[in-house]
Amino acid sequence: MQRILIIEDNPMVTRSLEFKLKKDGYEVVVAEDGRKAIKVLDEETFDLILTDLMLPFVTGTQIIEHIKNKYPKIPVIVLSTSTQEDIITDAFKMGVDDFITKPFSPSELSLRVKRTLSK
Amino acid sequence: MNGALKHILFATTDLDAVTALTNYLNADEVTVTNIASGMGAIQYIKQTGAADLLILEEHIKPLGAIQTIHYLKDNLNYTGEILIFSDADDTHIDTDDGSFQILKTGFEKADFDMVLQIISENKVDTKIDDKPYSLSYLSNLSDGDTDFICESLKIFNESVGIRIHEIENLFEAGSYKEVSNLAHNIKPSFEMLENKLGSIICDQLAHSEVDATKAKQIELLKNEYLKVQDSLKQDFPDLYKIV
Repeated sequence: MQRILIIEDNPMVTRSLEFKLKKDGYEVVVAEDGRKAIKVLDEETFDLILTDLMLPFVTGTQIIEHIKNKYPKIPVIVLSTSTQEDIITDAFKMGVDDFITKPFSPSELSLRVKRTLSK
Repeated sequence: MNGALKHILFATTDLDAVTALTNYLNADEVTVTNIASGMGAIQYIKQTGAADLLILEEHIKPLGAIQTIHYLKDNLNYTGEILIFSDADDTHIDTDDGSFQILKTGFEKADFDMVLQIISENKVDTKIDDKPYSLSYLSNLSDGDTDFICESLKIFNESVGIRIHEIENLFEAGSYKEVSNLAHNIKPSFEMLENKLGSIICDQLAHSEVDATKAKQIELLKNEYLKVQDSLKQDFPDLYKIV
């Protein structure tokens, strides 16, 4: 079963992502802040990471840097609000694979996750 | 002006104009959201629905006002009031989608009066339901899974309530950047319950400079949260039972 790490600090968004992705047949692990994300990344393996950009302790940008340096093969999808155009552009420059707007469309989430995992 | 808080979406890069309009209007009655691009305005409307008034700068990037209007009319069936913000000498700009009044740059009192008149008439069907929330997003996401929906409502009650309390404390302490961050954090929660006003206020706190003048918006946000909570208590009393 493919494993997905969700890094997100809004519990309602997290629960929704977890519900939908489990329903789609993925194993899901949640880290609600940057520190926990880095710890779990060092201890476990993942096929995909979904991350918010504004996180407690360690920012999303720092998380992306960490992933791209230490785990360059794990694809990353950014979870973002639509008004963060400049931040999204910067994230793409850092090598993220895709982004999804919060609150996400369930069918769009399924498609983007499937597409990113199949690359 | 009576009734609910009115909302103006102002798509422009002219921040002086945004400030002038915001300062002229009574913050208790009208809230102004600034978006810096036509695409941003389209995205915003897709997420939150029609504003009471949309003002588009004539040459707003990337599409310009006329193409942005065309997209809104053609793809979103947008019927809300629209003004084009321009330095043109005409009073109207004619397009394939109709004739649109010009709001002149370098505002004069007559321009402000025109804005006030439009939003006072409130021709927009803002589709405000009796209920301050909707379960359609959560229901769609979960194919109507009642356990998931109830769990999500509990999470909303608890997490957003805590965050708003934190916002109040941080605001009192003058920690305005943290207020913005928390507003950004809870915005999707309001959106998932399709509460438009909560989402708009969060967006403004998150993406405009927060300072001591934003007290009213924080009070409005708290009131909106309490309205949702009261309504949920009536509709889902079991969620609030103490075991």
